[in-house]
Amino acid sequence: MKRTMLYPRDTMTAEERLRAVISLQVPDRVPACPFIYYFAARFAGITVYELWSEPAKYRAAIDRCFEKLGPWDVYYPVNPRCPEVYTFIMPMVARWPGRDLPEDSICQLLEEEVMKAEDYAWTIDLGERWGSLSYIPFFMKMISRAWEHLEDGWRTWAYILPRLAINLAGWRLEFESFKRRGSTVLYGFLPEAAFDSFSLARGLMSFVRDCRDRPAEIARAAEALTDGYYFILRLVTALMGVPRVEIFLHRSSNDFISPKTFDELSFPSLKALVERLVASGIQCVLHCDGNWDRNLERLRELPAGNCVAQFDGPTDIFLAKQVLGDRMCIMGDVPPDMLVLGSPSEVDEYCHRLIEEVGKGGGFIMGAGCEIPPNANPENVKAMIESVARYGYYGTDRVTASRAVAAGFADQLTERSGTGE
Amino acid sequence: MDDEARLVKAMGDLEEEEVLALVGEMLSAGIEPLRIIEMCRQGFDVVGRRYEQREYFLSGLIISDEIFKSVMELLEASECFRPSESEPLGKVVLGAPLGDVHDIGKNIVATLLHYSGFEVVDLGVSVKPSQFLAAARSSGAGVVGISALITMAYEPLRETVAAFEREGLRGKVKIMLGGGAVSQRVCEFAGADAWSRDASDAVRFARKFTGGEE
Repeated sequence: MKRTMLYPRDTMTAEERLRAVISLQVPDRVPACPFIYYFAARFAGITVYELWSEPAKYRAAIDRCFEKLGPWDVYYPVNPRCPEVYTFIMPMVARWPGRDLPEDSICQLLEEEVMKAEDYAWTIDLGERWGSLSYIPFFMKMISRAWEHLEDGWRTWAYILPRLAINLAGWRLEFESFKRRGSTVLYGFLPEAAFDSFSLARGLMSFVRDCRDRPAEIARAAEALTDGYYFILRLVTALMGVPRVEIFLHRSSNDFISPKTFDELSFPSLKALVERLVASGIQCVLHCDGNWDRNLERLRELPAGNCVAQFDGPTDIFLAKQVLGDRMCIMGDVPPDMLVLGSPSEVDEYCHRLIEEVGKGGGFIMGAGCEIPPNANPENVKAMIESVARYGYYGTDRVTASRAVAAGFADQLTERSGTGE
Repeated sequence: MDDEARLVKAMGDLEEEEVLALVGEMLSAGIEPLRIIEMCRQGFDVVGRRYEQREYFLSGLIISDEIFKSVMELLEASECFRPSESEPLGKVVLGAPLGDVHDIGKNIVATLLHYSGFEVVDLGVSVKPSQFLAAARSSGAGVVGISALITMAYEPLRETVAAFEREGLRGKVKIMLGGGAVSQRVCEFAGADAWSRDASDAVRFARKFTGGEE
């Protein structure tokens, strides 16, 4: 197979580069992985509704970003072609563009109780009875409660499963097109971790009470779903041809729960799942939203050289490098407000620092703090993506060279603003 | 340690059973319900301080709110309960900006402000600039708090502050921003007076803006 290089100085393909950073080896340069979806709609002049309901428009919008702002190494896919499929990953009530919201709105998730307190016992039982198939009935029940037009039972299964299959087939085609252009794909599937799924499905207020009143049930229910998670992740990653998963951890940060609650209720099932996945050759990207400063030590227990910790800004990414850098790859974290309201030179300066400090010795992926905001300034997005080619090459003279490039880029920006570009 | 000190400590330690037992004993001993509320409020301040110092987390704030509500139910059920007639420290209008329907952060700030002695006018989510204006006018609030979780809210934040400017209310009303999407850069962009991602800072700002101690 032809080895396509994205930039003339590259000596690795995007897939080789990504594998190198995850396994904590030094690649030829830092890879870039912008988390683009809503932004693509705005950039291409279409609505979010069109982005997610018309596959051709989604493809054209992402292609436009790639052509005008890229190239970049790693495709970060978020493309639910059917709203209910979204709930197969995040069990929450959703307000959907084009259905409940104007077509150009972003999707918004509501803190409503789709999981009941007694469902912990049901989930434990489900794990015992359904074993490796338990993920599917758990989420089917949540889907039927999150969407008014669906009822619990076989009708929901009949509605969701064909749509899920179509969605996966579409993703597989998208992945192939990205690989053909020389990029690679971050993951083959993207579940929310069990503990975090319970938090989303119960609603924060109820879940906090649960953590106080029924901690043992939460831990057992999360553990009971581990076989189900493992099975579906192995299956879908094999179907997608990408041996990596993204595990969302929206509710395990120190913003929501104490390190003690994390240690006792969230981490055990996460660790069990990650260890099994890694043992079967699947690497894990942990999507760590919020502040994780006090959970970082615990993450060291995960298998070394097989995980990525993605941070979105509140976590001190420079501290994360010190604590975790010898155990896992780090990804992030250009702040969303900088991408929207800052200037290209500010973005460039911050990315340069990320590459110098967090990228030191490898083990770093350039990314935004979570997603690229829909209203980000395209010039800022471009500056972020381009920074890896500007400063990200590894070599003995790297630091001196990148500082010289930075000075040159600053002059270039001054000239651009001076000529009114 | 006397009962009052024990109550403050139990509230600060989030020991619900002990709090409720102490409140029951104090009611039986004829202690004024308003005095009991004051002790619980002092305990709530301890919770707030521990949250600021990262000893407690969001979950601790939510649990303290639960305990306070249970205390209020006990007190309201007692024969000698009379609602407080004391003046609030000030009035605060709260809401999420137009286009943003997330309300967890706003609700927690509302709870903190309420138990810290402020009267809160909660406008809910996706609030138009004109609604913030109208509420500030009708309530006479000196502080408006806006909680934003998405970057699409930046423009509505700026429009809201601009609406207060246009109507000549900016000198009388301080505007504070909160939520995961705000920062110093956003505060400057919107023209607001203060910002924080930390819910307990909202109380500090409100005290400062209404002329009290921070």
